[in-house]
Amino acid sequence: MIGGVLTASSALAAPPAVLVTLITSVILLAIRAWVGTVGLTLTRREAWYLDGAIVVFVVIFFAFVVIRFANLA
Amino acid sequence: MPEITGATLRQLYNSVHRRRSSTLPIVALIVAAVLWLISVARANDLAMKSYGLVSILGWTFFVGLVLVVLGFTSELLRTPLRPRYLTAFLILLIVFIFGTASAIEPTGSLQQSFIHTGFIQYILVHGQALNSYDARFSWPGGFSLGALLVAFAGVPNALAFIRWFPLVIELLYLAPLLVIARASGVGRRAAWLGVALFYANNWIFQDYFSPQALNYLFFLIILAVVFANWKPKPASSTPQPRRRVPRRVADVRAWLSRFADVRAWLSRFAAVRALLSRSRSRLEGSDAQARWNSSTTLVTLGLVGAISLASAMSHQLTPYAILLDLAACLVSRRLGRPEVIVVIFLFSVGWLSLGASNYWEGHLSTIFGSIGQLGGTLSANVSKRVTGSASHRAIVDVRILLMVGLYGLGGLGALRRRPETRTLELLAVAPILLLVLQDYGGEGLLRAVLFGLPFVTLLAASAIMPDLVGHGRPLLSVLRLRGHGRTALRVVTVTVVLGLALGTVVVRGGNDTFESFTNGELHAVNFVYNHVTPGQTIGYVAPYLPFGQRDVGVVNQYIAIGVGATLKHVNASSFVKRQVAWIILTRSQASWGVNVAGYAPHWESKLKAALVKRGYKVAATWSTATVLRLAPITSSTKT
Repeated sequence: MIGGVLTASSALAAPPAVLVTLITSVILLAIRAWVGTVGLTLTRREAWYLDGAIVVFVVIFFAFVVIRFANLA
Repeated sequence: MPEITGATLRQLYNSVHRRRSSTLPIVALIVAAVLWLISVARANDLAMKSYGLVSILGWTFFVGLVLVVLGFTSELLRTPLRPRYLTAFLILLIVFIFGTASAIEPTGSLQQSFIHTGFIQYILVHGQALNSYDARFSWPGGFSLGALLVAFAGVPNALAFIRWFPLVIELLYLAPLLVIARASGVGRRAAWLGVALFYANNWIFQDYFSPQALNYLFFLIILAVVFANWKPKPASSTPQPRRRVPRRVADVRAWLSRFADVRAWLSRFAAVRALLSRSRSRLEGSDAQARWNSSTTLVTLGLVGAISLASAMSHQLTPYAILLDLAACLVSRRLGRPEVIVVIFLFSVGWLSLGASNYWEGHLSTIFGSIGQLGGTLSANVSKRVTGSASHRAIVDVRILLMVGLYGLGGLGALRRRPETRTLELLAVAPILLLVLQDYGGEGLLRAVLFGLPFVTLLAASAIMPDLVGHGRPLLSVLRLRGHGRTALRVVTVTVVLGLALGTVVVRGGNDTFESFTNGELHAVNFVYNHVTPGQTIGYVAPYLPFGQRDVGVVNQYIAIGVGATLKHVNASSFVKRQVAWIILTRSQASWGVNVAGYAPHWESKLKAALVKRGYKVAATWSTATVLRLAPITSSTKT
C-alpha cells in the first residue's frame, strides 16, 4: 500500500531527469561511504573521479530541480 | 590478613544497604502508580475550568508526582547507579506527564488528530493520497503507515489510536534519548538527569497523532545512531597537515616578526590558518572515529538512509532539522561519513520537487516566501500567541518562562562542563536556523525548540552535575560547597525536575478546555456525518471539535473564524449567507471563545438563539454539543 501511494503520483513519473540524477547521486554517495567505511585505499585519481562525479551529478540534480520549480511554479 | 580492595568494600557496602535500598524504590514506584490511578479515576473531564487539565487533578496526582521525582533523585545520587530503577522512575514520570490526559479525556485531543485519521481513512479506502486537497497529503508517508497499521490491526479506522498516541510515542522516544544521553559525553548521572529534564520540560504539544510526532522519533533514532557509533578522535591523533612555506615568504616573515605588533598579528593569522587546515579533514569526517566495525557501520548507514527517505516522504520540516544536526555533528567531530548529509539533502529536495509538487505548483511563495523573514516568523510564533483571557495568558507566560529558564540553565551547563567537543552546544542552537528558512505556519519556533530540547536538557543537567574530570577546561569553575555539596545537589535536582514537571503538567493541559473533546462532541460530529448529503456544507465557529475523520474531499466545511483569527463577534448571518446546512456548536468552541478570543460568557447560547431566529432548527443535542440544521424552505415561505 505504501509503495502504491508513493509511486501513484503522476508528478513522480513525469520528470525522469530529476529522479535519475537523484538516484545516480545517491548510488555514488553510497559507494563513497562504502569505500570510506571499509577502508579501501583509492588512488588520488580514483578519488578525484568519484568526488568529481558526485559533484557533477548533484549540481545537475539541483539544476533540474530549479528548472522544474521555474517551469511549474 | 587478606587484602581489602575497593571492590570488597563496595560488596560490603552493598550487602548492608541492599535490603533497604532495593525495597524503598519499589514501594515508592507502587505507591506513586496507585496514586496516579486514583487521581485519573476520580477526575471528571466535564468539570474542567479555564486552567485546563490541572483544574481537575486532585492532591493524589501531585503527591504521586513528588514521590516519583524524589525516588528518581534518590536513585540518581546513589552509588552505584541502578539503570533498571532509574528507567522505571522515568517511565512513571512519562506516564504522569503524558498519560494523564489520555487516561482522563474520553477521546483524543486536537482537531488535527482527527483530520489525520480522516487522511488515513482516505488512503485506506482509495489506496492513494488525495491530490490538491491539503498540503499534508503531499507528504503522505506517515498517513500510509497509519493506513497499513489500521489494516493490520483490523480496526475500522485510526480513531482507536489517537487517544493514547502521545503516551506511546513519548515512551518510544525514551530508548534513543537514553542512547544519545549516554554517548553524548556528559557524565552518567548528568545523562540520566538530562533525559528526565527532557520529559519534565516537554510541554510542546507536538506528540499528538501526527506525522511530525513520528518524524521526531526518526530524528532521535538517527541522532542516537550517530552518537553511538562515532566519537571524536583524540586531538593529538588528528594529523595536522603542514604547508610548505616558500623561502622568500619565510624571509619576509622573519623580517616582519622583529616588530612585536606584527608578530602578534601573524600569530593570530597562523591560528586562523591552522583552523582552516583542520576544517578540511573535519568536513571529510576524518576527525571522528567509529566505535563499531565496518560491517555494522555500513548496516547502520543503510538504516539511516532508509529512515531519512521515510522522513523526507512524511514531513516537510524534520529532514532539514536532521540535516542541520548532522552537519553540526560533522563539524564537531561526531560524524564520520559526510555522505549521509548529502543523501538526506537529496532525498528532501527530491521529494519536494517530485512527490510534493501538488503542494507548491502555482504558489511557490508558500515555500520560499518566508526565507530570511525572521522577524515575521518570530512574531507569528510568539507575540501572536500571547493573547486571550488572563488564565490563557498565564499559561503562555509559564511556557515562555519554562523555555527561558531551561535555556538559561543550558547556558550555565555549557560554561561548567568539560567537553571533548562542543557538539551539544551546536545541536542546541542549530535548529534555530530552521526559523530563517520557514515559519511553518506559526509553529516553527516550537519545532525548533523541540529539535534542540534533547541537547539543551543535557546541557542543563551538566549545569547541575558537571563533569569533575574531562578533556576540556570548564569556562566556569565548579562551585565548592564543602560538606553541604551532596545535600545541595539533592535539593537543586528535586527542585528543578519537580518545578519543570509541574510547569509542564500545567501548560500541557492548559488548553484542554478547548483542545480536548467530550463523547457528546464526538457523537454530535458523527450525527452530522451520518445525515449530511454530498454537496452540503457543515459549519462551525472555530476549529475546536473532533471533526475531519470521515468523508475527506466529499463534504464541504465552513469555519467562521479559522485558526489564529481574532474576530470581535461571531454573527449568525455569516452562516446564513453561505447556506450552511449543518452547524455544530460545542463546549470546546465555547471555551475557546471565552479563553482565547475574548468573547463574553454564554456567547454560544446567544449565537444559537440568533441562528434559530434565522431559520435553523435544533436537530440534536447533547450535554456538551448542539447540532443545528437549516430548515428546508417550504413553499409558503418562498418569495
